[in-house]
Amino acid sequence: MESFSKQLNRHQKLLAAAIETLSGLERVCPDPLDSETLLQLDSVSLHYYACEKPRYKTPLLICYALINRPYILDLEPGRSLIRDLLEAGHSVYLIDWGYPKETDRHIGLDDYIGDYLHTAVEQVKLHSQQSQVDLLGVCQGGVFSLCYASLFPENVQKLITLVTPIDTSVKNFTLARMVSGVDIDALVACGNISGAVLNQLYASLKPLELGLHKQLRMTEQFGSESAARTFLRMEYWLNDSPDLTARSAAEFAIRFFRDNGLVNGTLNVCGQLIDLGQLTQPVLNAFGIKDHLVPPASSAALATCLKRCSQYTALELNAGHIGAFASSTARRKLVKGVSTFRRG
Amino acid sequence: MSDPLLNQFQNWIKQLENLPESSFSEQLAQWQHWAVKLQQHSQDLAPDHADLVSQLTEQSNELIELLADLTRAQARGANLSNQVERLRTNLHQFNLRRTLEQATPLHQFLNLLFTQRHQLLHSNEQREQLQALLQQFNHPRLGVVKALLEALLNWQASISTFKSQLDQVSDAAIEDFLSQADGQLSHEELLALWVRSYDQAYAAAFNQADLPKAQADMISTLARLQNRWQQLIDQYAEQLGIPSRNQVDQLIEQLDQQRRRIRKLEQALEQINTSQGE
Repeated sequence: MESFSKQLNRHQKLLAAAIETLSGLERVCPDPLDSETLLQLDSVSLHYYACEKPRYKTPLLICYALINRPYILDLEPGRSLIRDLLEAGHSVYLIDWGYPKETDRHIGLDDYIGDYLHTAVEQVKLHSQQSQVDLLGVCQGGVFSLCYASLFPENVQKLITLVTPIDTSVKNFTLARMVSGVDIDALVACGNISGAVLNQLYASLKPLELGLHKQLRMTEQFGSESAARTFLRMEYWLNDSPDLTARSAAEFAIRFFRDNGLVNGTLNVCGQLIDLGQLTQPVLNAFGIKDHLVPPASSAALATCLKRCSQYTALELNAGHIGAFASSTARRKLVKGVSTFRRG
Repeated sequence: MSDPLLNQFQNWIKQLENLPESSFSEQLAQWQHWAVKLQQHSQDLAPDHADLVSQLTEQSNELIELLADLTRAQARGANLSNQVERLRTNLHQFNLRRTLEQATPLHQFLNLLFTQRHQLLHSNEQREQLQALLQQFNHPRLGVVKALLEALLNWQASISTFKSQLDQVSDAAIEDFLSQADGQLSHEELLALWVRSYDQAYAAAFNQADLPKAQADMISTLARLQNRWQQLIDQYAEQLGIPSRNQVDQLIEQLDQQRRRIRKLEQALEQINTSQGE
């Protein structure tokens, strides 16, 4: 067993190195690419990232989740799915849902999917002068993309779902179990669900590893300036959580999570039931096999829901929920998979 | 350019490395002296990250104290069961102090939802007093207050149930920990093993019926408590002639319906313009 002196010495060295790193470090915030804002509608905006050498005619529209901010897709130069997609020849459009205000509490799934997402798609079609888009949905954004493709199939050529929950009844879906018995109507009666609550909910999926243990070992993240910058940018992103509008939170919790709406065909959006069995577009379904937030089995269940899909491809990434598009190895595999899929 | 204090600290670390091992308590005391100094001068050490330096120092101190605690237990010949109990208790004590000292009230509550085992809120005696008080609230005008207090008691009861569920998680984690731990593991490996054992036991419990139900009940009863509180505020607001939150919300909903109508008109107009352009 290592002596106490040695343990003490090691932690003091880590702390001294961390302080030395921080002493010369400027304030750190995300370092995103320049983009052109094509649309601003209420809190929602649509961004365009021009590709120098586009290889695909159909534009790629990324639909992020309502939870957390989409700049995780472009956190910094060496950790950016958007930059990697641009380099691979994809013209990228991104929906930013913004920060809902308390007065937005009645905005629901019909507004997000039937109005905002639809308006963004129409804007992308107009800007790119194409009649269809390829939709890439991340996490909850993947659910939105599937719903949109079901409601407006003529607008979507191909679909890519990334770390997207589908079947909420699978084993080890802790988040779904947490949501299952809560009195949602009582929860949202006082207004929007705050970002702080959501952050704590996600941290509580692994309460010690993501909470206390992470804090106790934090000095290990500051060994170099570049590691410190990445860590601080990631922390900035983690803590920059928009609130969820009361109506969208309630609708998603009940219709999607509790009723397992996509699998059971009961998810109602804009007055229509979403029937994944009717989707005909080619689908690429990418998910992390180490995802603790959305179990891989939940994402993989999409395969059994699609009955008329012309081409279904599953892409397993050796990563967790965020690592699936933030870690360099997974990102490389993902971009390669997306490029192959869109070429086909 | 390093700060003189940081240079002194680094020199002290080097000296400590080369010196023969001094007594355990002396080393710990010296370290704590440095920890206080580093926290006090965090602004000079890293002007743009003073809060973070202070936080890192405090967290290092907590970790070192935990390792020291484990070392003491080992020196006394305590077995692994005692050590894991120490890990469990210390980690939760950290959580308790951290949540109370550093977080906003909302964060305090949220953290407590998931990792807290200690009785923080009302004692049994206070609960009984509250129940006795409730018996006297029979006048209709006190209906909202009575409902609020009942909601508070329900929330208290749900916390109690949730805590007993967390105790079962903890027991399962201890069993798992003991089946894997042996005397060869370093203290940090023991800590990592405990974290893994606890989180696995916690996740496994969420696949059963009782823990999700207990947590859901706790969140639901809290939400109902907040709603009752809101009703009370609304009642006072109406009595004072101030628009209540409920009334403001009705206005917001009306505005939202107008927004939807306007959006439909805008979309119809766009379609007309597009078809005329074609």
